[in-house]
Amino acid sequence: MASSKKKRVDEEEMEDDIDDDDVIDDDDDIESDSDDEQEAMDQEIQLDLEARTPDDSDFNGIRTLLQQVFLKAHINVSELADTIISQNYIGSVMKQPYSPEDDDDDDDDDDSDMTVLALTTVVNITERKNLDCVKQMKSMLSTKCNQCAKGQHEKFNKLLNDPDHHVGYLVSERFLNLPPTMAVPMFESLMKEMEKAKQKNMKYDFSHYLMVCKTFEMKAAHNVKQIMYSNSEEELFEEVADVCFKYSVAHERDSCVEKWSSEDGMEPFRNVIIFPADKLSVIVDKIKQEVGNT
Amino acid sequence: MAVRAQFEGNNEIGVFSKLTNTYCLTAIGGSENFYSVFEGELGEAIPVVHCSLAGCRIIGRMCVGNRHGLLVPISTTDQELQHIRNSLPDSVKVQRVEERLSALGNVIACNDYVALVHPDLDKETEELIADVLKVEVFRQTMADNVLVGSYCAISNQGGLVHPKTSVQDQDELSSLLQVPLVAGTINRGSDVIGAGLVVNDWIAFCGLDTTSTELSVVESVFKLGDAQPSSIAQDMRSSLIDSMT
Repeated sequence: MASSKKKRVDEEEMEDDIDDDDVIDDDDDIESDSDDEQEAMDQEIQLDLEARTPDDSDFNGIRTLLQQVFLKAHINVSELADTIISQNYIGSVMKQPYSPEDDDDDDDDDDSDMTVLALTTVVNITERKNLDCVKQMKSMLSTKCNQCAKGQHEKFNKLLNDPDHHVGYLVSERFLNLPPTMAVPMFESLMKEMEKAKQKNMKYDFSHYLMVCKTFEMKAAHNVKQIMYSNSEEELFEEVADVCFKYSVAHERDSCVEKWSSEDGMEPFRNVIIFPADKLSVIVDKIKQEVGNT
Repeated sequence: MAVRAQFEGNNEIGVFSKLTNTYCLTAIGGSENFYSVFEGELGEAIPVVHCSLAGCRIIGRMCVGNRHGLLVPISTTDQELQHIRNSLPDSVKVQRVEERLSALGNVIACNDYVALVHPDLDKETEELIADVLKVEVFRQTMADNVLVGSYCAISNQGGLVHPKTSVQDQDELSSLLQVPLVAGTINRGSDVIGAGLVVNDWIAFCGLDTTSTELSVVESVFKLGDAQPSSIAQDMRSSLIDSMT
């Protein structure tokens, strides 16, 4: 027990470069702004959240979030999670803050309040092209592009494999029911961290970003198909995309999940988006506005 | 030799496969990559059979077997049973077991000579195990866990047990099994050894997350490396155990 407490103190010392204030302000927004998100349940839950730099204890949480994106595809997500942890000067994980009083109730449970609720980071896939997981991810996406959007295949490969222009895999994952309000401070701190890293001559000067977003296609009446983004703010990225295609993952999910969603007429997709790096700050501003309006 | 593998992004490969000295069962529906790992390593030596049990893919947790036989739960369909019988060597007896604790892989751990079983297993099942698998049966727990099959992996060379197994328990289990035991983890600290590791006398498969330290422990305790004691000593021990059973 003593050792784990010490670890937590270290974590808190480490989070110097993340704007904690932003995150805590954000809590108030969640209370007031997310009415429509919650209307199905008609109930609001208040959450205290805290952004931290990813560290070794987050491995399982990060892995789970990444696994949700790639499902059964043959990609070594453990290696990807390790990479994200190794570059701890970039990106953040969102957790519930550690409070010693809660911990006294039941000691066994202390892992569960340390769950990683959200993850925002960027991985340079041009620089790290020799990692197995990056190779596997590139070849998987390239195959899917060839199958689902042949017209864009050439452009996709050119963007991904150009050694002079670096491409960043932008990871923005969170638990399904968390509101998009959370995305704004996380993106803002990510951009700040990338700026810092660039000043230190680290390779975070990207020409393009790659995103893999979770989406659903609802078969509404009159054969009109409606696309829903699991993380609703990601819709805005699609508008500025250079390359954008989607592939179905209906058969890659666990069998019981498959059954439920097919009854609802929802088919799960993954949208792959590549957009120019200079658009990121514009989009984040736009998300901020949208979130403010609702 | 110990090899890392992954089943559809899942590291618990012991859930989706069963490995013995004379055959290997793997679940239906995994990516080809998972099979090719098994086929590549075992293809020439023993049959690698794709099958399901009672319509489930979690075959490693549902059945138990060794060189002599295979026990499957009562819910296994006739078709599945026929497929397995056709694919396995004739010397392997395949038998359905009517047992309340139907996840046989979780409640039974065995090598070719000894089986450790859940303390609440039926008397009839115990007799069947002794009969079909030709083993001595002992009712045991693993670090106060009744699911002995989940928390350990044993071969005729050695065994890996739950990391919290006390030294006294290890000594007791080791004297029952007549093989050296080591307490350890798999898949980066997972204590569910049976789910993360399948092993026979010459090869082990473990989850992709398994660290190199864990891998070297596996190789040394199951004697899978090149540096092995002389074959005479090994042969003598197995014949000694043979005469005891």
